[in-house]
Amino acid sequence: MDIIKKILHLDRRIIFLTLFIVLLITPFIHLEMKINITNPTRRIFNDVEEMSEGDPIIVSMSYAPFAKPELYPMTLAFLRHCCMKKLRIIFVATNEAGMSIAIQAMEEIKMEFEYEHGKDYVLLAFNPVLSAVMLGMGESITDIFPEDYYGNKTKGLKVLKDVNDYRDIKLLMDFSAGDSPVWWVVYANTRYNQRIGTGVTAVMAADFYPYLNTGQMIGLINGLKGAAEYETLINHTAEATEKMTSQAIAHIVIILFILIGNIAYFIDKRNKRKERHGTA
Amino acid sequence: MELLSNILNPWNLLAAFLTFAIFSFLYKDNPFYKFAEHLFVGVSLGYSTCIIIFNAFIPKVVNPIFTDFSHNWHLVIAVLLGMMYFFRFSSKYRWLIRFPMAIQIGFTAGISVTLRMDARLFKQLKFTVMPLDNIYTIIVIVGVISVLIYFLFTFKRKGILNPLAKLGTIFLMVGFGATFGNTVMARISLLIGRISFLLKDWLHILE
Repeated sequence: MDIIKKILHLDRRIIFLTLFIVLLITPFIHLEMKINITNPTRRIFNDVEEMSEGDPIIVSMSYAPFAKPELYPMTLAFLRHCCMKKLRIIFVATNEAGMSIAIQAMEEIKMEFEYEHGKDYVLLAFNPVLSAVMLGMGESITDIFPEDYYGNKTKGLKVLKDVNDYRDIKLLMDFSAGDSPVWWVVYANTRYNQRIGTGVTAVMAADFYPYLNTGQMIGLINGLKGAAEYETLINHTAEATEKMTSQAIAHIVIILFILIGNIAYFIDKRNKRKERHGTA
Repeated sequence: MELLSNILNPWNLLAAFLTFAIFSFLYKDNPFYKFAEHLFVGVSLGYSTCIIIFNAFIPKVVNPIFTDFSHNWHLVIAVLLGMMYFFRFSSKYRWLIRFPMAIQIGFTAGISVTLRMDARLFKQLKFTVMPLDNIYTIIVIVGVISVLIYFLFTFKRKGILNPLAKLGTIFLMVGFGATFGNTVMARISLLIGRISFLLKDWLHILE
């Protein structure tokens, strides 16, 4: 009886501590995790796969370092895929820190794929007036961004050759920790029919599924699990796949806590009912 | 030796200290948490301000005005309008911020109302009932109608409306469950990220 009361009044700090200890141990456990590929992730992969060498895409960086554990692995996996396909990558940022993360990501992979700034990819500067940027790029990308992040004139850059507006862009991929994918849909897709894909934090993912059904987004990479799926698709096991063991075990621990809590709740409820009938 | 120097690297030490300072809130509120929280807010704001000044304000406003005033004189009007927001700090002239606010609200409404309606209402409505050739669309239709009935508060629900509203509650619960599940996954991912930093980047216990 006492143990039921103890479970029902369990100090939340014990749950935090248990999770922390579990996650400290799990990185040392090497389990072979089978990564099931979900349809929204596969759709983005297939879209990139169908592109030809030199096709231009826009990658929008809409997250700050706090969301890096979830979004950075998928950003790297996606960029790696783009580099494998030799696509031209145009980076924009709707978050102040987005361009710094883009630089870090390209520094990690550009040597491997011999990518050069200005030739194979370009970092366009952050502009705080998002609606103007999103709409303006439908008229002229170089007018909205006359200079790149490093102050070079964008007109004449090899990476932007024959790229004027959204009509020349095969895909706009937004990595976001907020609601920026909706704004891309509103301004770039609704107005200019730009194809939009997105990679988001798991917290936000449920909000974007309705846009997949309507075709306003072509696909969605959902959190660290989505990143692991993309890594599997490109046959490059990296950070996200490695962390799936920890993620899975942590989920099992949380499910156990929920089950134990619910069982204790129903036993307590039954005991109280019995006590009431006993006294009556 | 290299391991020790990495552990004692001041930036890594600071990052590890701030990580533990934030985690300490899970035990209870304390000065270390407060320090880390305020530092985060200050650094974020400072960083954003600098980026906006150096990446937007100087190249897009200051430089054009000072290098080619005859073609960019209209930017001065925008700057003056923007500066009117500072009248918020004056009790006498506070009313003047209504001008830039009115322009901003008008601009935003003008460019986004029709697009938002189209993207977030009309297209969503259309694809709620189309294509009506599979079980998923039927589930979506039943879900939308039952949830809308659940939110009918203007008159008393009677007859068929009652079980439909109860069905709407089930759809809502499924929706909340999906959101909560995703939230748990996201938070665990962030915690894994921090623990990965501690074990891999700081202590080098993990390869």
